[in-house]
Amino acid sequence: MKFRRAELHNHSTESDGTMSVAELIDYAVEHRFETLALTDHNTYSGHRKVAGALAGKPLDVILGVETTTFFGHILCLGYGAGSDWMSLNPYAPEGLLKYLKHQGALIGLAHPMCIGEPISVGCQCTMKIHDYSLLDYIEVVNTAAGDTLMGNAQALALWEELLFEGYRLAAVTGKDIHQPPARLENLFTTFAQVDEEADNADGVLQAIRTQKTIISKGPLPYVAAQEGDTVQIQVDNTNPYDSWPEKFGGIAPVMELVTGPGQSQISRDPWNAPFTFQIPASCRCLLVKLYDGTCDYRHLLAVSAPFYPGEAQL
Amino acid sequence: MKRKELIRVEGLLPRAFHLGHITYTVVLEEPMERLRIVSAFDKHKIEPEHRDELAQACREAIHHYVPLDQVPPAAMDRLLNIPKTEINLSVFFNEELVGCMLKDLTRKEIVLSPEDSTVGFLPFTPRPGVLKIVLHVQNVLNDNTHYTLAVEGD
Ligand SMILES: [Zn+2]
Ligand SMILES: [Zn+2]
Repeated sequence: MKFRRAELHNHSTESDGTMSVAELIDYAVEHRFETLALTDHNTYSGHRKVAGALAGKPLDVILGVETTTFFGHILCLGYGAGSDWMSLNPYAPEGLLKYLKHQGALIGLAHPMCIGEPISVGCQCTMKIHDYSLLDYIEVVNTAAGDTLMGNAQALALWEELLFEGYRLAAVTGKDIHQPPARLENLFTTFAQVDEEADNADGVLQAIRTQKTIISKGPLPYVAAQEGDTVQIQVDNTNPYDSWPEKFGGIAPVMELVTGPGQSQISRDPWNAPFTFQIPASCRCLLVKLYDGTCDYRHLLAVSAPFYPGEAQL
Repeated sequence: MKRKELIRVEGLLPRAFHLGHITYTVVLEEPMERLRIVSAFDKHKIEPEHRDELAQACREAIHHYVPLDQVPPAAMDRLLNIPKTEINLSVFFNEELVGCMLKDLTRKEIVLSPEDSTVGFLPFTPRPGVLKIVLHVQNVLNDNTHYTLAVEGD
């Protein structure tokens, strides 16, 4: 297993970005994105410019579209076509979601809880989704603006709530690049757990499809082994993203093991040795969250992929 | 090269047309070299008579996320100045998407041709078929917001 960095939400001049497709690709290579998704608003005109701009560079590109409706933005990965989003009924959006899914797209809600009307009309997800199983993922952190008005803590809470209701949804992040970001430090990004032989864009898509994504500012928590009701959790601190190996020494490690809504246990053991955890019998889904010192969103460093006890996943 | 006017329309939108689409469909009857599409609208920002009402609604929206006394004045000014009317535009040919222009511009000019379509649009050869232009009208802030759309073919 490998961890592959994936930046899954980005715009070019094909919609309202300031970088051309080629410039965006060069930016991604320079900043070691590993995988970049091109997700312009309601157009895929940039897709045919990708291959020429890539030309052997160390980057994989996922072709996508951000279906930008009046009632929320739907990220579609592995998708290169238009859609009749104009007929979206905000009170019953399942028709459009089904259409996009049947076209083969992996679909996710972008910035679902960000500030909406009357400030940013259309950006908040106000469509009334009745069947979340039509979605593949939720962008739980969007770093295009500050956490507060992006509603990132609320989006993460929405994802957790749905997860513990039994929905199989991956959590991902989005830089939502429209211009080169003012800063890149201390931002969440997505790491896909991929097989060695699928260390590429397809592996990332498969990781999203199977909820094998970690959101992180550096440390990478994962379940390394399972025996009966006991799991061994490890944290990979070698990930070079945002100089994590250097930062790691200066933090106060807190691990929260979330086993259900409002149910969790805390460990303050250091993260450089495997941690053994006995999963309660009632737990259908385990999340490992890492913090620096305090268990709140502001100090959150990483959230593991959901682990479903009793199912072969390792 | 002969220029042919295909669409020339205008209209007035009330504030109650808050979110909606206006679709114009025209049948192209002959091959052409290129299409030029121009759309425009006025009243991009809120007019003085509704400004206080909008500012109050913005403050309420912000308050759901953060206590208002914690928002620095410069940030508050910036947030209160965000609301705007947008009319974005998509083009379909025989129900296939040709492209979309989603930019905060009151005037949009698009060229569609096999060689040099505007960014955001695929190369396109005008030929017999059904051309559909959709204006995505978002957040009409003022009554009597005037819009125009013109399409010409060469
Ligand atoms: Zn968006
Ligand atoms: Zn976006």
